[in-house]
Amino acid sequence: MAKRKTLAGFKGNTREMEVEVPDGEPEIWGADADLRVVGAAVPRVDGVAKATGRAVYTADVRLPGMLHGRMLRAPAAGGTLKALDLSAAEIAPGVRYAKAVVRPGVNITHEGRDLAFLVADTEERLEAALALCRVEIEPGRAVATLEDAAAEGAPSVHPDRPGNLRGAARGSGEKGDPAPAFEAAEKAMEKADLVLERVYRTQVQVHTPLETHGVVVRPEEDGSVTVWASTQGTFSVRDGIAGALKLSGNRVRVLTEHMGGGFGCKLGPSAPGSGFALEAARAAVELKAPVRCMLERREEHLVGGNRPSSEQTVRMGLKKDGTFLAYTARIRGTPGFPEGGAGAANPMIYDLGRTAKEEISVCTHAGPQTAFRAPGHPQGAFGLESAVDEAAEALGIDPLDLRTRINRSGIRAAQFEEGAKRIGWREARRVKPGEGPGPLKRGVGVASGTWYHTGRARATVEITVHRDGGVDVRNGAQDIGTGTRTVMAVVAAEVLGLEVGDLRIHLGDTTWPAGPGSGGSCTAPTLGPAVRMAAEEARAAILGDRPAKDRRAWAAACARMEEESRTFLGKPAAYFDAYEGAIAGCQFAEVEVDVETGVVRVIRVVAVQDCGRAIDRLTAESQVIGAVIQGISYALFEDRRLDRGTARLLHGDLEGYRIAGPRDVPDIEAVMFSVANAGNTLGMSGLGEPPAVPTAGAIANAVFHATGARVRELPITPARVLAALAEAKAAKKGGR
Amino acid sequence: MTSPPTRAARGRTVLHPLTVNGETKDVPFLPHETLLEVLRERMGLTGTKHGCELGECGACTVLVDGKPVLSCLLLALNAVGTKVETVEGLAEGGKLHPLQQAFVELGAAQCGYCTPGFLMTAKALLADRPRPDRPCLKDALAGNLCRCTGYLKIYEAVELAAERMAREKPPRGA
Repeated sequence: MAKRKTLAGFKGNTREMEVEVPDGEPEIWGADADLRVVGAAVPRVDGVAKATGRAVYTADVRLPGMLHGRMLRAPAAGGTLKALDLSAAEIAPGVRYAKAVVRPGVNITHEGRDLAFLVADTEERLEAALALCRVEIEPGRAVATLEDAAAEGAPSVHPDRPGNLRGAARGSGEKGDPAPAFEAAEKAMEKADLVLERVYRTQVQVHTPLETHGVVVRPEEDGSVTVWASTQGTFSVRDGIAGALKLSGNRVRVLTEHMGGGFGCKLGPSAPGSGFALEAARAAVELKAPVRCMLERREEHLVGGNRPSSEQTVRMGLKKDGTFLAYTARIRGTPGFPEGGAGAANPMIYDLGRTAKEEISVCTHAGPQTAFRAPGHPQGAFGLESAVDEAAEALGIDPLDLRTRINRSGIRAAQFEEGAKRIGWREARRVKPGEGPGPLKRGVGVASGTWYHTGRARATVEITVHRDGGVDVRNGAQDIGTGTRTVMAVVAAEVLGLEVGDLRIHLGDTTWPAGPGSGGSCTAPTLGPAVRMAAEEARAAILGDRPAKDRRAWAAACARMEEESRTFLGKPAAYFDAYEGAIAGCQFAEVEVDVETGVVRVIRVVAVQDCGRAIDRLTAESQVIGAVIQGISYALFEDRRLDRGTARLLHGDLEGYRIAGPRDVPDIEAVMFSVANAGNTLGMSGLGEPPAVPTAGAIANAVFHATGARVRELPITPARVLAALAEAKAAKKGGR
Repeated sequence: MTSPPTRAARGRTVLHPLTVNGETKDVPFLPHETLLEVLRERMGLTGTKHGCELGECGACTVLVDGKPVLSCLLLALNAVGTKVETVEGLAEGGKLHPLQQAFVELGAAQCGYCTPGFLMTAKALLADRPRPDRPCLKDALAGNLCRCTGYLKIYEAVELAAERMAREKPPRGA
């Protein structure tokens, strides 16, 4: 370890930091680094493949002799499996494989539960065979909603472990009994001028990648298997399938060159609620033939994972001047059948005095929650930011001024200023909530988000330099569409004095060095520093003291190499001491609400986002814009609904489950708030998740400003807006 | 009691002439196969994507006689005698179509799965309305979904392509 000095921070706010850096790491790119390619707007290196249809996704893989597999799924929720008879399917034309994956007596935890795996020579025959399987279920009551599942006498989703409530209680961030923290917070509230209690609710959201989960598994002559997988974790698919087949990991080769979206639901070896990939692998090996299994859209909604719902009961006590004395949150949510994971990141971010929190997951007969773009955060931010807004309104303080007062981040303070200027906050807020003219009312709202520095130390990047000057950069992880390939090319080009197009980036093959699963926004901040380290080694070995000037200088030096090629490895340490402990971002939304119909239209969003140093401005902006639109979709439209009586899915398609389309998109200003964060040698951090956090909260607050009516439940549908308006009107009358 | 229809009763695999990207070929398929299936499974043209198979996402959009069509909802038999265009036919002689070029330059493709559908819809739009304004553009693309939600860059790319195409090809009578 050595202490190194670096200039960290952002424009107008830099300071010299001393950072403990392990030996062998390159210099940190500080705020004063003079960079040629990094930070420019660089088109994706795989853009042409994607725009010509040449990019091959798992769904596109066709192999000679390929068979088609699919899971037979439970047609109901609740009850137990009485009998499963595959005999008619087994002898149906074209059927090659039919195996039960559960035994009679098993508890039907959710509609779509895996029952049997079938393989046939065509998809049509497969479908016909699935219809011939006889499934008999001993019916049982199912619970679909939080209220029903938490009610006394509700049927247990897991009868062997009675009750549906699973507590993961926390007081002031500590695990354990939250009661003392709640008591202390209540005591602090006694001195408050204002105590508010509010309940906020959010819905279940389904990831809905356009390419569904899926694999093609090919058994090889030597006993190994090759797997094409639509995944965010090539190595997790490798390990899962190796385990299922009892093979060593190096005998399972997983390939993911391009994949059609994941957002968190494709981190495991199969899907969160199905073991289809493992069954496909078993079938392929037994049949000695390639087996393809892509989930259908309905399966994706049933077992592909989701963002859990939440019910956030918030109590807060403040002084007249806006000082928070205490803030408590009791969170309940439905993870589906898993026994946990339905928390919400509330409280978070602000200085709220004494805090206490309790998180309880309430099991329902439904498919599982799983990681979804900033797990816990969009729902938490909706609750927290709505609550802060309500406190500001009650105290007659401008909501942005109150946030500035309780904000703890220097980066966010500057972001608030920048965003407010761009949206025209002061001007817009001169109109009091709901007092704009006419039936189309405009309003502005603000909310914040945070995320963690998630770069990991587990990745190795390999750079091979050829005598003709060619450079290959390799890692086994995947590019899920965020632009990882391009980020890697930019970093290598910067160090070697090359152009981005001069490099070949190889990703998505587990025969290359290990890389991370794309979760927690860790891919770029893990692989970026590893590329830098390998490239610095290559530069030092090949150019020596000569400057990395351009392509000619590089080619001339490479031509002097004695070997045909040389290989360099980069395996950097984990994060150093960052400029600030967390990533900061805030968003300002402007909405127009038709108070006669209740329809909300988002007019404009200004998203000010820190991701450390943006490596490629184009892909960085795309992440922010995409996250904001997904946030709008979450705030206004998306809602996974189950039938309350049977817990069966009410929609298995994109018609009933509405996601934002081209007409729903407002003007979005993505302001990349660059911070040289000193956290790693690039001074960068992750970006996939943080901008997905604040949007729904900002929109809800803008709706309040427009209408004077508070909608405390997502999605903000016309019916909810009209109900809130009616409530606000009644309250006003009552008040007089 | 009627037994389920056998394969023979539902029709046989027959060669049909299909004109795809300017080339006419006899392609074998069953009468109930959709154009999407025939393009992807019979002709190996996997640039046209399979997203929902229900006509909801637009990923499978191709042009039939110049009009955008959801190939998952059209029987391939209905495409016999028409001119089908897919993303594979957009580039001419190795030169990217201006729409493709603009999509690449502006980063309008993220995961890229919806990109071919957007490109084809946009091509039909620009043939009809060479310089669409933003609301017109949004309406024309309304049937295409992008879950990475990169819509803004897609609009910008279509507008850039429209501008370049208008410059290359002055309007008639000018």
